[in-house]
Amino acid sequence: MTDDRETPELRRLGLEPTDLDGHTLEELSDYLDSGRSPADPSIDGSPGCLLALDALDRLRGLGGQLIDADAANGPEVEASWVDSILSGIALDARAGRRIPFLSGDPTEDLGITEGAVRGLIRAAETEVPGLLVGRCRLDGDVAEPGAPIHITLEASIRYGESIPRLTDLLRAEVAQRLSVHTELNVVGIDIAVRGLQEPGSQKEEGR
Amino acid sequence: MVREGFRGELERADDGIVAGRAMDGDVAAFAVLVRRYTPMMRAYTQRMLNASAEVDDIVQEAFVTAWQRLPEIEEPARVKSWLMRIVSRKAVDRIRARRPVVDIDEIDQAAPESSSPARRAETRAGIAALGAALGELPDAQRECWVLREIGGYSYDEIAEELGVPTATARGLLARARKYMIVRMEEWR
Amino acid sequence: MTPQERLDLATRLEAVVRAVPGVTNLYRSGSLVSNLIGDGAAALGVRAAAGPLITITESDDRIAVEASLGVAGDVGSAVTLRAVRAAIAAATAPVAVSVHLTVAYLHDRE
Repeated sequence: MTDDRETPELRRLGLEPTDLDGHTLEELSDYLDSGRSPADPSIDGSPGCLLALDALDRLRGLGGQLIDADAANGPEVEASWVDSILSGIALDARAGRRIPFLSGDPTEDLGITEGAVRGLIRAAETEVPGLLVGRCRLDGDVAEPGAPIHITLEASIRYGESIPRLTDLLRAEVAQRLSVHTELNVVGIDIAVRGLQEPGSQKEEGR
Repeated sequence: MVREGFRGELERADDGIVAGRAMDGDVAAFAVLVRRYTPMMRAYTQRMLNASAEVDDIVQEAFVTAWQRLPEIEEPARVKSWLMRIVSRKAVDRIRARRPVVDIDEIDQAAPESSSPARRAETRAGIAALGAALGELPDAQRECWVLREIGGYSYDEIAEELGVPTATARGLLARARKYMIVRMEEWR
Repeated sequence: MTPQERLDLATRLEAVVRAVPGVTNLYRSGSLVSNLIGDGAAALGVRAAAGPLITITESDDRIAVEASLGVAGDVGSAVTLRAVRAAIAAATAPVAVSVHLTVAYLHDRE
């Protein structure tokens, strides 16, 4: 005795509108994209459509996985590859504004670039283990001697370390280096801890 | 040397910090991004082009552009998807340079006859099957599929990238999906 | 000054500047490119064409000297720049000189 009631599992997958109760594969794709809402009973009630939707769904997730697998199975990134890219990039674009040193002598014009100063600020992290400096910004008229300058920088701190202790250390180190290499009138150094080196971290303003 | 420890820390730091430093001009941070995302960018480009000869050139160009445009990035934490968009654009530029017009007949062109019975009989797990099927698609269909399903581009964006009407992009995608589903189901 | 004299002077001044303690490098302005050698990142100046990295122009009764520098991080930048200025003045004496010097890169103290 045959059971001629078709169950979806036994039904062959067909992708033409005749298999899909009048719907097209495109429509089903869009339906899937929209999270199957608003619900369409003519799709949800069609075994052929449900089969096709399942197949589309299975396919959907695989694209990203394919690239991830390719990336994991691909060759190691060679140091020579990295170097060949780096040798082509220009640092001048990051020089920023020129920060002059004060001088009573009109025959000398001495200065330092904002880019060099940012590098200096980043280097302060070497004195603060467990902390990495991210972006930093100099606000104020750096070309005007004595103008108040505000430093804002981001830091990432290793999980478990004391945020206040490390940000205080960094602030002191940055202030010291700035005083050695610039004549900037630094009125404040804000440190935004933007991420612990772990997922799900919190953001905290340090002042 | 104390610096060694920091090299490791930067290598493991999250995208936002690394991209932030690179924006400011930190070359070492930019190198971290290069090491971190070269494999993925190579993979995407290779799948898009279905050939490997030009992949490294394209990825290299993408990084050079990325360095120049990093100061424009609005959310440094999203540098990964930003980089993928740049490399995708470079790949499409390359494609369009050598094939200025999408062959409209490709829309109706049936995908190549399925491969040998021996291959069909082979059991291939999901992504291996996907990779193989992708390689069998005609160029324009494959490009649409990669842009949509991996790149996350909208139909309009795909149309703009490839220089075709949106309706054509939808048509190409529908064909690609149909072929892919059939091939994947054969291999289940 | 003839072009050759200017060239000779620039070459000589470049050597003088490089010899100043605290100076780690000279860059042609507009040419800083990156370089990563092994574990260390450094800034390189690219010599697009052969030629000195010091720019010399003449105005009134003096020579104007311009340079873009890398300096070591352990001594204050201004201190190093003033030492460079003094070295240049000594090398060009008795001709008066004015200088425009910019630190473009600070090498962190190791």
